[in-house]
Amino acid sequence: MSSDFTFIHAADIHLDSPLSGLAARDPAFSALVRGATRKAFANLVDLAITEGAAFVVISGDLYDGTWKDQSTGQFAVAQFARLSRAGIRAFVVYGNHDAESRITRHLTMPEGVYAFDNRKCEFKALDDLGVVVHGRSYKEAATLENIASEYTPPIRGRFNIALLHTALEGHPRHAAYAPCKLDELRASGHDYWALGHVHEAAVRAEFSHIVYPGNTQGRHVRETGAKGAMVVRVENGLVKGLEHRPVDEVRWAVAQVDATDATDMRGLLEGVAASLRLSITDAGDRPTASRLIVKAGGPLRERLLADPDWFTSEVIGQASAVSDLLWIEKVKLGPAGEAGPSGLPPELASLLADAINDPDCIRAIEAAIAPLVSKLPGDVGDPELTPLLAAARLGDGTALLTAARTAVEARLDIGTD
Amino acid sequence: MRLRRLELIRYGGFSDRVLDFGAGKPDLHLVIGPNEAGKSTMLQAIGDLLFGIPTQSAQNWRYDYGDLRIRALLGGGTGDLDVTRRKGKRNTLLAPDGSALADDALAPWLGGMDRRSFERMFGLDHTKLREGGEAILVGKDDAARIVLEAGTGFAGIGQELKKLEEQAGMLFKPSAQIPVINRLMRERTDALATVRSTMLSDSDWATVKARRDAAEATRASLVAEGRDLALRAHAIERINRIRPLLARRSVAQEVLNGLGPVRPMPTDAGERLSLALAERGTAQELQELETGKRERARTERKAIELPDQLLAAKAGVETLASRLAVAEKAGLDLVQRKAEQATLLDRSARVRIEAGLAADHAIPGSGLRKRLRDMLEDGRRLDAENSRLHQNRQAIDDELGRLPPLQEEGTAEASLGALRAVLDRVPTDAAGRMKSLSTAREKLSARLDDVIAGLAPWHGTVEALRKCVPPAAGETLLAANGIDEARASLAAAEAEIVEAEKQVVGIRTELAALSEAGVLPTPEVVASARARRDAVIQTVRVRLDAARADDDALVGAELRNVTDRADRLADRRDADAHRVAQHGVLSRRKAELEERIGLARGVIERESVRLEAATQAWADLLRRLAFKRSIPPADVDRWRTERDRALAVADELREAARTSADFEAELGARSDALNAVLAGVGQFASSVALPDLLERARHEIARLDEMVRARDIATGERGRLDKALESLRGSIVEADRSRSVFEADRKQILSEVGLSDHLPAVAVADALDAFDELAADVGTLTTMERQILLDEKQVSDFTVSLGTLLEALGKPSSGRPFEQARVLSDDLGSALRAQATLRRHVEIEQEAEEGLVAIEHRLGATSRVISDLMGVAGASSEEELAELIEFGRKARGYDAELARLAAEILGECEGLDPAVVTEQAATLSPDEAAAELDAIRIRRVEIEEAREAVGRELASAEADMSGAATATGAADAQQDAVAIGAAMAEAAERHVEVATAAALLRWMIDRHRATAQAPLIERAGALFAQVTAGAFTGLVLDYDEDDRPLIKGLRANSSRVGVDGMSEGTRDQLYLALRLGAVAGRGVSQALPVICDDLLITADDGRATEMLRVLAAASRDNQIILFSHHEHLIDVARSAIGNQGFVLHRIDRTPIGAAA
Repeated sequence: MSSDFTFIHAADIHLDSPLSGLAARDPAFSALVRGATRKAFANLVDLAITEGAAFVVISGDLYDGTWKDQSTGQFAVAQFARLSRAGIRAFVVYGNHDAESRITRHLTMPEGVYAFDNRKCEFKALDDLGVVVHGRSYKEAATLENIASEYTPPIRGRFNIALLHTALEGHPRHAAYAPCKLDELRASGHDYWALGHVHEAAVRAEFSHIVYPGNTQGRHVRETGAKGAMVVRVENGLVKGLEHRPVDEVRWAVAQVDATDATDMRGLLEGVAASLRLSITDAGDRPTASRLIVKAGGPLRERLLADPDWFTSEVIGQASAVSDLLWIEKVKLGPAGEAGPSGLPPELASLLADAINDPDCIRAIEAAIAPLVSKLPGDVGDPELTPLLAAARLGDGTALLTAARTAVEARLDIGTD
Repeated sequence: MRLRRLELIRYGGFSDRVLDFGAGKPDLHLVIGPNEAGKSTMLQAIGDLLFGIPTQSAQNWRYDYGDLRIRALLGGGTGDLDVTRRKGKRNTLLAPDGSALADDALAPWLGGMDRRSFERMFGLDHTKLREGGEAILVGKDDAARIVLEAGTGFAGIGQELKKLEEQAGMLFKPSAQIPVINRLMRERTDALATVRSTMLSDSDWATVKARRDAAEATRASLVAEGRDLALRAHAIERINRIRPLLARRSVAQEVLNGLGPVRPMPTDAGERLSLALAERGTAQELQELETGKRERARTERKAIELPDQLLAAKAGVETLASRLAVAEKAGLDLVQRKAEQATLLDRSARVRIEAGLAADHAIPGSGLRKRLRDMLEDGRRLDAENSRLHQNRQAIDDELGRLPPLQEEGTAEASLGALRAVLDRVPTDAAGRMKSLSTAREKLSARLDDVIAGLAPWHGTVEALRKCVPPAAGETLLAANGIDEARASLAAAEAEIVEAEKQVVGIRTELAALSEAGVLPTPEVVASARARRDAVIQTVRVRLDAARADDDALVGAELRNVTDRADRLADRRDADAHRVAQHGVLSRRKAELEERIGLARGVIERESVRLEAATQAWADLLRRLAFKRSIPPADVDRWRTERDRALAVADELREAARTSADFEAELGARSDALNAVLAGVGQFASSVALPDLLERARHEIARLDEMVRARDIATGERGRLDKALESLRGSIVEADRSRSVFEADRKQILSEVGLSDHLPAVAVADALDAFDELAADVGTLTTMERQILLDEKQVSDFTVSLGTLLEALGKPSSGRPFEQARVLSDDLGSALRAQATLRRHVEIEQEAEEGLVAIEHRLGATSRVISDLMGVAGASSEEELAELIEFGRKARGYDAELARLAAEILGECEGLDPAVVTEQAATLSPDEAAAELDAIRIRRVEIEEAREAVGRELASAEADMSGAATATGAADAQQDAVAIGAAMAEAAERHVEVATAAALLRWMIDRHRATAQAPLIERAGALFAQVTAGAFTGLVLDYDEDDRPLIKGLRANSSRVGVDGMSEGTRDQLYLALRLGAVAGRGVSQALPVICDDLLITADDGRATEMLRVLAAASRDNQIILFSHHEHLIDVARSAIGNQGFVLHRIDRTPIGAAA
């Protein structure tokens, strides 16, 4: 029978993956976010040492895809060496990003670190703990077959841990690699399925446990909240404790302000400050990049639309008053509520209405932005963050015209008062 | 839609004010009234009626929000609507019967307009007119934009378009460096280049690893060679170490061989002989010592004598000594206790007498004493309770006495209600509002002072300013032109002089340079030289025909000289011909320039006179207008604007003063009412000032409040005290009952104790203390008697035992038993110590005897050892024995040396066969060994150096490898590139937003031009012709050199004037024409009243006449309501459009009605 022990379950470390969406407005914050994924991995090693973990399992995506810098791999080796010196073993399966990576081909891992084969599932027994670790690495990124079904069966009388990089039954933001069913894993008999690939921490089942630890460092504003690893305590062959512990260096947050009842900018900015304060409640002393989504209506909304740069600078001012460690990733104006009167005379309103159906108008608008579209590098811009740019690239004149109309309405309505 | 009637039921400072606009024939309404009459309030009321009263309206200073009401009768194509507007969130429109109308009941009347659109499109005032005129000038080359702005009332469309285009340009331009996106593209390219340059590639990594592996291999090879060399050096050094050992072994072997045969002797024979001789000497010395010790002990033993009789009685003496201390103490205690017993007996007798207890009466037991003590405590408690109850009774009586007498209810409440009712009607924070009005007035006054000061150098009062009409534009232009032309001529002349003088200086310099080249040979000089030459030639010719003379040579020489001189002069003049010509030209040019300078100075004199005259005329004109000093004609427009501002501020100040006065009057009325109520409650105020009255009223309300509250409190308190008094009476009855029971018990207990029941409580308490004391003494005496008996027995027993012992020893008793017993004990101690000394001497004697026997045995043993050694050695004496032993020791020494050397050689061989090593030593000479070692040393130094170098290489390679783990350059640069990309995306998004917005706005302008421009220009042209009194006949579109459309005014002579050629006033008129033309072009459903506020404030009578005609013309399509405070406009209007052309309304402080 197995003895009592603690192990750490981590995944999706994505070493040296850059944090995206942070416009280089503030050099101080840029300096803070540099190397965040490395620091998070080092924090993971610290966590294992502090918790007295017997071993660490990493369920894929240690590296980040096509990134080729061998320094990244050497950093990983150095961190694994720290574990090794502390007497902590490590088990790694490579995921889709690792399979893509050229870094893994040149690595010599220190003693005590085991990377699973990518041709078939294998297992390693830890006789001193009564533990068996099963796993299989990806041979190529697009691993679309169900590899879980080929995993070695559990060994009776031992605590069996299975490492698998999978989207399970699918995830809206992750490719459906190594698909398998939750029930299938539950029926396998392994005590703990240590999964990776999905970046949100989640306990999908208990006894037997099927767990995603999430990634160790949020890389953009869609990966908000604490990021870290699972600390798993096993006693008498059963999971007695399962705790998600943060190791991230930089945190992402989304702050929402409903200012539909605000009558002036002062009221709105008070709401902004309160919301920003809330967004960093659990961040501790970590730098936080927060996206602010403002829901406003009426003249206030028109004013924000008419001069977004000014409003962004006001928000940044509020953020600096809330905390030295808070940065604004982006200020977004949420969808409008019930549309009020535009305040434009019927002549202008009629002209704007005509514009929508006028091909000449659409051509004029497309011509106005054609020089930029032709010169801008194709990999710049996230369609979610820069929808107008995306529309410009797709030649979606209607979308561009709709946005232009909103901007013109706002500017004429505000600018001429 | 038109307004047929407007009524301010309760709004602002007014109530029940009516403007009746009638049926609309005519529909141009001139509303005249001084500023303080509420013109602005009327304007505000029209907007509030149509679109609702704003949440933060300022029109509640007289009536609460809930009371505000505006009523109107609206007329239109579908009939009339009588509607009243109140303030609120919903149901703010009311029908005449007070029922709520739908919130959107006015929507069909407003043609889809909201408030802002209405105010922009149908609101016209002087400021909008001026801004519109300026916008026309700014956008003079953009006719389409002008038309759109004027047509919609949006004066800022062009500015917004410009701002959008500028913003787009600041973000991105296709071929520029500075815009944000262009800069970010460069920075991103740099960052990506840094990623590539700092990234550790596969091949870089392989190279580093290869370097490390090669260095490792080289180092291993060097280590192996070094190890081999070390082994060889070690072998040679081993041979070198063994070589002297072999030599020493050879010598020792030779000496041993020379010693010959040796008789075998025990190896320790010498040691045994020495030990035996030493043992023998020691034993002999000990023998003498033991003999002396035995004799001394024997002598001292015989000198000791023991007291045998005392030693026999040892047990008895020791027993007696052990009891001595106890017996002696008992004797002393006995005496003391007997004295204490007598004292106690005396005191008990005395206490009994003090307690009053009969001598035969038993002392009360502890139970009885406790009952007595409890009885005393109960008595004290009952006394205390009785005292407390009576104190409480007194306190309640005192409180009841202090309460105020009962009062009637009602009077104070009535007074209070009356006061509060009046106070509630006084406006809240009247003082604050008064102060606010006063502050506003002061601010306006200060602002007026500032604005007036800004008119400097003009000075004067506001009234003077109203009368001060600045020079007309034409007049100003004329003066400016005169001054400017004179100044321009002066400047031109001065510039010409400067330029000419500059050229003269240059010419002088050139002439000087030409002159410095040397004096030119003039034609006369050349001719003179040639004449001289010819004269000499003639002389020579004469001499040729004559006889030779002595000075022929001199004449020949002179001929040569003069010929040369004439030729040189001629050559020089030819060569300098150009210089000569240039000199002449420059001289002529210089003369011309000097003439021009003279002419220009004449111009300066003339133009200076002209400038002075024009300036003086302009200054005189300004002085007449109260200017302390002159200002440039170009500043007159600015001054005029400042004047308008000052007058507007003055108007505002008058309005504020009026508002303040109204409010003050209202407060006066409230003060009177308050004073009356105060008088009614008997509080005649010494002052009628509102703050004093308010203070007095509040004080009175507080006093009455306090009175009512005190009465209520007293009533409650009286009830509480009555209840407490009733309760107290019951407690006193209960206390009296307890007292009688206590008295019966008290008599019973005193009887049992044996005390009189008349004794007071204090005496009983003293007796109780005495009883306690007596009970304690009885116990003490009993204990003491028992101890005295025990002490007497102790002393008696000891004395008997001592007598018995003394009798046995045959000694008499001394009568002091304790001292005699102590002497016997001391004597016994001395006897016992003498007995012990005797026993120790006997033991010493026996020990000495035993020692002597042992020494004899040791002497015998040594003799046997020596004789045995002699037997073995075959020696006949101890001396011979010693010599034989020394010979054997030497032989054994060499044997041992040989064995040691053999062992040492074996050790040095380090496991090798000694024979092989010996053979190697034999074959390698010392010289050869030294040479080989030297060569090895040199090679090892070389290897060390090589290892050092390869170590550095290895360290370098490993540093590169370990440095890779901490290198973050590529990752950091990648992060930078991503961040720059994000910034670029943001900027691009913004660029797309503003560029598309600009494109859309431009399209709207063009579209409007295409669809609405021509009819609007036509309508506006007709109005423009009227408004300019025929100075223009209409408007036309023209095109500039770049084929851009321009709006131009058309003169009667068909000439065209651009907007920049129009005066400011004409541009205002153009804007008015365009605005009214646009209004007139709207459909019937959107024909709303046009509200003009002081539109003609800066127009002179002629211009006002024409503008009124335009308004009259426009009123055929739209109702026109023109507010003004210029009374003389009435005459202008009558003159321009006749009495039937407009409706006159007057606003003053009395209710108003319509008047044609």
